Amino acid sequence: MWGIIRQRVACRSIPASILEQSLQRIPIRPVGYALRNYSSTAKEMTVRDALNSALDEEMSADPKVFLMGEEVGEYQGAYKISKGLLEKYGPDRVIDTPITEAGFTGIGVGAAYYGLKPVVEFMTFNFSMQAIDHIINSAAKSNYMSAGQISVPIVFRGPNGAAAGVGAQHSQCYAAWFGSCPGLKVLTPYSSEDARGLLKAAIRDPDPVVFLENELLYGESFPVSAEALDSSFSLPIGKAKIEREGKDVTITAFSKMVGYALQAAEILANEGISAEVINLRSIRPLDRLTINASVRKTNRLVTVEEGFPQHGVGAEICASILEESFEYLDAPVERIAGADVPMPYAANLERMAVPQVEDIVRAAKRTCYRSGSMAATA
Amino acid sequence: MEAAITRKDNIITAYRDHCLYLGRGGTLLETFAELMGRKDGCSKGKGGSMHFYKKENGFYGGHGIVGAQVPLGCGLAFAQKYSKEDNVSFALYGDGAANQGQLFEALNMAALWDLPAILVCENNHYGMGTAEWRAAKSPAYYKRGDYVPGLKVDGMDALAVKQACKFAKEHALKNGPIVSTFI
Repeated sequence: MWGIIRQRVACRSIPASILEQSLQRIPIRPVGYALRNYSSTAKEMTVRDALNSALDEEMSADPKVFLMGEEVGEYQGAYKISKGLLEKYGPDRVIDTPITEAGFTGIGVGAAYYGLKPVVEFMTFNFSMQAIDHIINSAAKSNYMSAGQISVPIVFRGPNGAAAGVGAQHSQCYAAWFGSCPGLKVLTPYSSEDARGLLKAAIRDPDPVVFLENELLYGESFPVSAEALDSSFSLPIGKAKIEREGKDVTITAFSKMVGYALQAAEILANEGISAEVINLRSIRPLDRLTINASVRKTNRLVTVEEGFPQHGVGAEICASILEESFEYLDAPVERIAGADVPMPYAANLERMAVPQVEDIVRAAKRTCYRSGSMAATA
Repeated sequence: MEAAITRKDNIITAYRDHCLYLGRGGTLLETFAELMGRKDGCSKGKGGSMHFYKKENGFYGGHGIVGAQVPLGCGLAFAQKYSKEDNVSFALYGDGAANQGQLFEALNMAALWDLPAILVCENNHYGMGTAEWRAAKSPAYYKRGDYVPGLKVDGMDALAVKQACKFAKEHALKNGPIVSTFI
């Protein structure tokens, strides 16, 4: 309705803002309604609650779904993601395990072979390395090796990447490692809607899914639409989301870095650079179509990730662009990644080892030839 | 073994899976075709010698990583208990695999949760090329369960094997996991 009024106003050369102001002074409240916020995205939800509600709904819908991991039951979840689930579903479906990743991951995969739908939680994905043989060799490859006889409907989930001050052995990002393995699906939610939709899709999926969360995002709140709150909601696996449209440079990111990329886009906008931010959502399958279409529009690319640079997600995206959209590039691709060093403990060193908003801004400016130096170091 | 159990009980093993596959209803044609890498093979030529499966008859492979099949077998037992079925899962492994850590991890959980899992060590006294006395401090693998009861069976005596499997199945359904060695 406002659109039509604006069009008519433009034809008659009355400034739209004045007309809108005067129209707003007329109360438009229907009789009998209490005063309400009519916004469709009024509800906010933390990522933690989003994951908890997704688990709850999927466990309620399918009795074959069960949760297994360290501290998921009586402790209510190491990060409280599984709060209330033990009480609701009982110890047969919410299982506390000893600290034996190789053992319980193998047991989870075996249960999936038989037809159950396990959700195996790793306290962080650093510990998944103890069980990585079962994830790759027992789960990912089985469907192919058995020519379709054995399907493995399992979800491996938990926090991935750097937290705050947890040191080298607790801060690695595994997106690139799992992303290279055929037979796996790898998802990286950012917002609460991502968390809900992607976890539900992962649990319903008949193949093994690695679900990489982020500890620092658990407490962050995001608006969720009414559609996302419905228990049948799910997001497609393998589709990226364009979080912010732009025309000068494409910035790809996943998980926590999406937030940083959006902040960088805001700063760049004030300097006259319009950045398009893509939230990858899915590392495997990677949404090459969306990324390439965006780069063909903007002609410049900055890839952002928290993990180590060599053989990283950014490297794969660069290769994909070179293979499909080389002639569209107006500048070399910029890769922003974590520093090529085990994560240091000291807070100031940790800040330097993880990409910051300024690094993304500088890289975007470099692709737009707005800075003097073409140096790779951020 | 087959004489003592049903097709609703599960079997899982490592890469010496050819005869178990035949015992679970596989045909010689499928076996040879798979070994030749042909599409009439049981895994359509994509699996190979180490990856024979017959899920509908309770045979879950066929695994190349030594020791991995034991937690997987305990997982099958877990699923049977979860689904409230009165059946068991046999996880076969060699004396070489008996030293794998994940075996003990899985056994601990099987005992904690009373899973109907039967661990069977087929002892041929060699792990790859290394003789048993150089690899295992204690070659009495059936005793390695510690808190889990163990059974020592003469693997060369078919009737003894049948009786042992019958006993193990009854035991596992009532009391939880049991470790056995077939020598």
